[in-house]
Parts: sequence; C-alpha cells; structure tokens
Amino acid sequence: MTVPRGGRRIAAALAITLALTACVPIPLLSHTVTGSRENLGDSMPGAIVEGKSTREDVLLALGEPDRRGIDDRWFTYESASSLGGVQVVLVPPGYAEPAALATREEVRYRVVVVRFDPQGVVTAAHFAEHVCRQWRPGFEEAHPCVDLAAGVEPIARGSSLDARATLGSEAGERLRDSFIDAAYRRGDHWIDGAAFVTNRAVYFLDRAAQGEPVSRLVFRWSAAEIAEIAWGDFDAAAGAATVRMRHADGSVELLAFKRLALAGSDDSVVFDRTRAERFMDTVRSIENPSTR
Amino acid sequence: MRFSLGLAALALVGVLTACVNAPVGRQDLLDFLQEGVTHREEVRMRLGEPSSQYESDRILAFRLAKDSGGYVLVKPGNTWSGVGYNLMLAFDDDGVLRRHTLVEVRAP
Repeated sequence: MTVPRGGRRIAAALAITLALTACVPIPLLSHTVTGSRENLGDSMPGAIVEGKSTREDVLLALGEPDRRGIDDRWFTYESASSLGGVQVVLVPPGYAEPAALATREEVRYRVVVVRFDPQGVVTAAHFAEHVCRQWRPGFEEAHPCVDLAAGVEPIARGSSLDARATLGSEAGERLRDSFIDAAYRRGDHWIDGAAFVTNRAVYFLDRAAQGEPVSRLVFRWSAAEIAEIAWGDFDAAAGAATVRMRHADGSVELLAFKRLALAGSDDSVVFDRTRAERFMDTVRSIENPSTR
Repeated sequence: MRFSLGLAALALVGVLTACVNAPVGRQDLLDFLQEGVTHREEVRMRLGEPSSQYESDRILAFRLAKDSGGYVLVKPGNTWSGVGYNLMLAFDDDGVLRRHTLVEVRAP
C-alpha cells in the first residue's frame, strides 16, 4: 500500500503528538475541603450533653453553626475533609493548559445535628460520619454521596410532626432522632409517615393526604415492648432496607426508610439502607431495653 | 551608574513586597473584652456588625482571621474560607459580657 507523502507527514505528526500528550496521574494529598470548617472531631463534641447543655454552651464551644432552623430550634455543624486520591490529568504538548480528565478521591463528611427545646436546652444530638469514594469528572468539586443531615428534615419540612413526637407521654421523654419519609407495613400496604425515637419509645405517625393535621399516631412502642430489632425479609416494594421490629408479645411489624429527595430536584425517592441502619442503632440505644 | 540602578530596582521590589505582605491584623483587637465589664454597645462600636446573632442579640458571633500582626475581622460569608476563628460573646440581660470564647474554626 502506498501512502502519499503528505499523509506520512500527518501520521508522523500525529504519532509525535500522541507520544508527547500524556495522561499523568497526580496523587492528591489529604486536606480540608475549601470552605469547610475544621473543628469537628471524630465523635460527638463533649460540650453537647442532652438535657444539660444550652444553646449558649454549644455556640461558645463550636462557634456559628453551618445551618440553623427557624427560631434556632436546631443547628447543624458540618465538615468535609479529603483523605487523598488521584487526579488524572491530560498534559498536551507544548504550552497548552493541562486538563483534568477525572478525579478519584475519598472525602470524609461529618455532621453534628443539635436540637433545642423552647428554653434552649439540648433535647437531642446526633453525630454522623461517612466517607464517600467517588470518581468525578474534571475539576468538579466533591459532593456528599449521602444526606448526613437527613435527621434535620422533619423539623424543616414538617414541624408539627416533630412537635407531636417531642411531647412524648413519659416525664423526661426527649426526642433522640426522627425519620421523615419512613414507611410502615400494614397488611399488604405501605403507609407513608415518620418514625420518631425518643429516649424511651418509638413512635410512628402516618401522614394525612393533605392539610392539617399532617400526622396521626399509628403506634407507640415503649422500650419494654421492643423485643428485637433486626433486618426484615426482602420486600419487593420496599427493597432490602426493611427493618423488622418484634414486640414482647411476639407480634412483628415492618418499617422501611426512604432516601429524601433533594429539594427542588427531580430525584425519585428510593428506599435507603443507611437511614434504616441509623434507625436501628438509635432504637438499640434507647433506655430501659428490659427485654433484651 | 549601572550598579546604582540595580540597587534602586532591588529597593523598589523590596518596598513593594513589603506593601503586599504588610500585616493588617492587630494584636490588641480583642483586649478590651472583659467579662462582667464590657457592654454590648461597646463591642458593636469597636467590632461593627456581628456575623450572626442568637437569642435576641444575647449571643453575638464575629469572624476573624489572624496574620503576623494579630487578628483581623472577616466579613460574613457562606463558607469558612479565609476565616480562622469565631469570636463568640454571650451577654447578660443588662447587655454586659458574661462569657466569651475564641473558637478555632480552621487551622491558621
């Protein structure tokens, strides 16, 4: 086969260009993500004690919160740190600007959610940490792969739900965590609502289709009634994230937890194993589990 | 002549570099704060508008950075970029400083 002289030149130039153009992996060292605070440790800050610390104590210990609720009923403190990774950079020949093709990075996200009663005393506090390992295109900034502050949502999205669960029926009962967009299995159907865990009991409130009141109490299980909490059977409608709660009398209930769709997005609501795990951990930590 | 010109250029570079890196912070910026003495109005007069307020102005927050000269006030923003510290001030019902802390939000 005969290659024209001009074609050979082009081929040679192309070969040289390809040889000079390189994909260079650049290691990324650990660092704090730009704009993030750095004063969150690997556990709940000691200054936050449920039933004792005040809003003032929290503010003077941690500084301004990253997010605050209406009437300062809740604060969140959030941090993001890169644990390192690699960035693949395309280096063109000559003096052209290098371009990042992709970034693989581990980013550790931490969040502390603190809730206060009307007197400004801490009623519940929650610490969460998650490491996201993601490929992302080019120089795009890291984004959390989970919604660590999902527990804040009930207050932001349905304060009446939160208020009713916070009341409780026992003296000294305090809200420990809340899970909006939970689902409760009744017969063959799943009922949308919210689950609340206080320091004494578990509540499930269903959601009325529209208007106020937005919720109705479906059940309240005291700690003594909860014989077992574990993963439930696979349910096609709820996916694998089904939690089984067995009463002391042997009866069994199923709950599922949905991932909250981001506000303003078209993301569909899917069932979320992470929230289900958090629910189980919270229930296991409630006081007086006399049947376990 | 040539040597003098070089020296002058070097001096000019030195002066300009000094201007760029001149510390603007003040070591004594927060020295006036005394618990049980300092009033909220004095804080506002000296430090200006706080970055945020809580409990009807009972608690004020200011954002600060630090350079070799001392502390510098930082304008409030949506992120912690450029901020090293949060000055948190809690006042009593009479507006007198009761407690205060300097929280290190980001490592200097």
